[in-house]
Amino acid sequence: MLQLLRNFFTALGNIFRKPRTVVYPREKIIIPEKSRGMLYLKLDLDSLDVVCNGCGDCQAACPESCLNIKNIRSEEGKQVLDIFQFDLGACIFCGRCVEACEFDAVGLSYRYQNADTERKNLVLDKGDLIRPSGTIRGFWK
Amino acid sequence: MLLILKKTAYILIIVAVNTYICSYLAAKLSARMELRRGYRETRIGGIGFPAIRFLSHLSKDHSAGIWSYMIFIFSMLLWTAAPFSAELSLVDMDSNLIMAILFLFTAVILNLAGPGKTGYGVLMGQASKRIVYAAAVLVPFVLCIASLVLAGRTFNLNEIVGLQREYWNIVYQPLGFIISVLSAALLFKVSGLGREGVQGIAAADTGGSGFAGAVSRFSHYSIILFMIYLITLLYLGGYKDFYFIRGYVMLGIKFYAVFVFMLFAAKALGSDLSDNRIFMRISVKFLIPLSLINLVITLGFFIYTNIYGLA
Repeated sequence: MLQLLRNFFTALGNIFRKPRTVVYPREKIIIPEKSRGMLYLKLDLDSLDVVCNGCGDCQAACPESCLNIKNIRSEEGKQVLDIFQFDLGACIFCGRCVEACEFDAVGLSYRYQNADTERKNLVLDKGDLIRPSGTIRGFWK
Repeated sequence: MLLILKKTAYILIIVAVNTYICSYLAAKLSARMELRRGYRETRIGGIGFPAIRFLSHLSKDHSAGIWSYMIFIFSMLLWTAAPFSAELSLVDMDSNLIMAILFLFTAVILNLAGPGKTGYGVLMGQASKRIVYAAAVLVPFVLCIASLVLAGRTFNLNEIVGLQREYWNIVYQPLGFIISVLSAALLFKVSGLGREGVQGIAAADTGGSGFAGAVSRFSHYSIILFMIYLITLLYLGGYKDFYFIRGYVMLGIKFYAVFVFMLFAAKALGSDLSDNRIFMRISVKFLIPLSLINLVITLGFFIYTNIYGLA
């Protein structure tokens, strides 16, 4: 009986509280801090080039083998990134690639709405991974 | 003849419009009670939601059973027994309360105890459970009405409304009112009109699609609303004027107040009614004893004051 009364007043109180859900996809929420979304390549703010030099540490650390990285030697003899392919369909967002990177060149963004009808569209390369929109917090506001 | 047709049309329109509004309110309020935003795909805060759900039922192919139409006919027949005002009633007889209760019994038993799916030959599948459920809903309600009849000494709904000239019956029978609303809330839940429903009972039939699903849902609502309407007439003074407020306005206000109260009560009963023991605990261990106590107190009071002239 007491439980019944408690439930009654809880339901009554809820009418005056703010709803905790949103009507997706019309409204979107700000996802929580430290959420793991799609991988992105960080940019060197001086040269506006990717920080990654294609050393392949992240590829070795990835348990799902969703990274395919190749590097080349530049004219100055430096090791630079040539191919960076990321299979979003295989990624489990464990974050080992980020931990393994010595140069802090990759990170996990907050971008989480990545569904696609074609599996081949989930294989992303360098150009797709440096889009700044994917890295801004509150992207979906 | 024309007058009867006119009255029938009025009553049908009143029932249809109020069923629509109540269906909308039930969806909206139950969403807010669960801190959900609710269904807002339709415009103007989802006011078109019941219509869309009705049309979505119609868009699906489903074989309609005879029981759906039987329940529908009885759920419509219910409204012949209750007066909407002193003039607007289809069947004006002395014992229209008995008629209303009999129709309600038939509709609820058909609704809960009737075989929902006869396709695979389970004519009376889980019959005992269904009948016990129907009894658990109806017995407390009828016991509360019996207390009122003892107090008013009439079976005529018009007279019962008339007797509430000074004070509404809720003042004398608050326990009866609460038990009646809780019975209606139980019926609301076992009819499967809440989000969860009760496993194996009418919820399974309500979930059906197609025209039969729409008819079945409408019938369930009609039965619940009739029960609430009876509570309004019996406990809250029905269609009597309230100072300067006209009777039919007051009737609407009271009806929706009881409906919303019933929605809160249904939510308070919890979503775990699929466990039969909890259902029976609410009804057998709480509602039926309380309604019996209410009846005994009423009887005792009237015997004590010698209102029946027994001594």
